[in-house]
Amino acid sequence: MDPSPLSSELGTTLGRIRGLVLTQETAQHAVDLLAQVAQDTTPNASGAGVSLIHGGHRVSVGATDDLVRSADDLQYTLGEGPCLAAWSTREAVMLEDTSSDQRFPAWSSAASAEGVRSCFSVPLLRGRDAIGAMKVYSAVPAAFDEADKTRLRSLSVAASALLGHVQTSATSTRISSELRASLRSRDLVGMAKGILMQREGLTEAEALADLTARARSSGVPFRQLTADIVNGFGASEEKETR
Amino acid sequence: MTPFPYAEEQRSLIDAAVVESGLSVGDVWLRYFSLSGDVDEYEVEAYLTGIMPLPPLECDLLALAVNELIDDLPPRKRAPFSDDLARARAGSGDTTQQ
Repeated sequence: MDPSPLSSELGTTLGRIRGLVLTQETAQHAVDLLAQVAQDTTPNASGAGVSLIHGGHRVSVGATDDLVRSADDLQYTLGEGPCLAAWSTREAVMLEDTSSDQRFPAWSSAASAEGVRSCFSVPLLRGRDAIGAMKVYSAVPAAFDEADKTRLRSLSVAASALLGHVQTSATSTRISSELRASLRSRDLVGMAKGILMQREGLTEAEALADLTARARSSGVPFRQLTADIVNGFGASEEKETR
Repeated sequence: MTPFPYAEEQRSLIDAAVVESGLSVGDVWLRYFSLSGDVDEYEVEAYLTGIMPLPPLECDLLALAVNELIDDLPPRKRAPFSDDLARARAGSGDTTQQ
């Protein structure tokens, strides 16, 4: 989470520069919609879900009902399950019967207790990255036939293409950290200007001209140069990473 | 705005540097903005294409931003000398002969 509220206008500008849409709601809307489509195209499914996964963590989840959502939640609390497996192995996972399948013992017994008996999960792939998983659940064992599997596989291709364009919270974190770095850098320039104005009796424009001249003649990056002036003035103990 | 000497020449050379290094206007603007540049992205783009002049100080900040971005680009590959490879292999303990 951001420690400080950022100017939304600036955030939007940066998002536009990066060619991204800056709303988490967009991702949420997309996964909800796709979960619904997955269920509609799979008549044997009692529920369907779509999860966006980043680094083993689920960043967005869309589900057609509470059973799907809680069965999905279980995977992340237990750290195992068909969707996580589909995501990490990049292969579709068919689970015919949760009461007998031994691959995910903890998840299977918990899911079976909640009423989920079979599950088919396909990975959402974008290039070399697995971005999540799409799955259908049923209350009866071995509910899904080859036609269901084929349809869900084709749907997953279209879903991946769509979701790949929706930003995940990881990108949003990256953008806000870029934004913070850029605002911090501007701040340093402002302080350095103020210090020169006070110390050498310059106008604001003269102070800025003086700073650019120093950067040119010394070859020191501007951010480093201004940070040095600010630190030399004893304003802070900032450690610059440039 | 009264143009300063060589303003147009500076503009076209800044633009050429941006184009040649493959930088996007967005990247240039972000760096220029963090160097305390005051002009927005569209105006920077307009300036670079020659539609709108900017005051000399803003032009210099833009030049500084472009140069810093160019300095940050990955350097071109260097060609190794004949003994560089032998020394590198000996140092790494890699005995495969290439």
